[in-house]
Amino acid sequence: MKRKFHGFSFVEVLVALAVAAIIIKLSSSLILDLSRADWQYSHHRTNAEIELFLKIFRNDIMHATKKPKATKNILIERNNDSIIVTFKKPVVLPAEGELTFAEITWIFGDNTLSRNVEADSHPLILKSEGMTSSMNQLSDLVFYLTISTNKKVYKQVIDGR
Amino acid sequence: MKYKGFILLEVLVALTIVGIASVIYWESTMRTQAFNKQISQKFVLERLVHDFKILQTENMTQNLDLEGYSQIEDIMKRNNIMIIKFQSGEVFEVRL
Repeated sequence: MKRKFHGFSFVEVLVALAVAAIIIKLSSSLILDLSRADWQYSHHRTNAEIELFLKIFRNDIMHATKKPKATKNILIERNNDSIIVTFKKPVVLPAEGELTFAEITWIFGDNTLSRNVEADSHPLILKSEGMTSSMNQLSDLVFYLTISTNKKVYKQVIDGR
Repeated sequence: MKYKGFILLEVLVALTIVGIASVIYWESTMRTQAFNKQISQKFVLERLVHDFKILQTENMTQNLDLEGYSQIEDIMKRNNIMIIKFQSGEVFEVRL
């Protein structure tokens, strides 16, 4: 009895190989582009978050209460691994709807930035690996805050006048 | 013998769906990235102008360190106008 063999012809195998090669090429470049885009996305997001934190910080400092001598009542403490900026500013308590003076504490630590309003149970916190902070005093009441991450440096003037 | 498997049309439809989903994901990632970049640029500009104004009143503009305003390439001041050039090539003029 004559047996008939089933299989692919040479042309079919060539076409299949060509299609497979194209798919592998497209998918590998797509995966590489996606991982690169993901890295850039997280980098831009961290950048935007730090900028937003600094904007809130500027706004807080601008509205800090003043001493009788008309300079801002800001306390800056520097520890080994963090800078703590404390002051009071007027805030409206959402529950009571009353205007009050709340103590705001900003902590610029290694890998972490945080903002506490009084004994806030949900403080604003930003974590970024490799982040460090330092502060230079430019004059009696003007300071220059530096936040360094693995990729970027952020500078912010603190006006205590 | 009956072969079980996908027909060419089914495979093509599946590939088209995967392709469309990938393009949508890619577009949204790119747009979010562009938005974040734009927001950061706006914040950098605001921070620079804020800091420059304070340092100017203290006569300490030489202390302004452009390294801390990463997207900015150069700044110039003409009378009361501050000209800020970004690395992307965009130029902004801000009245001080």
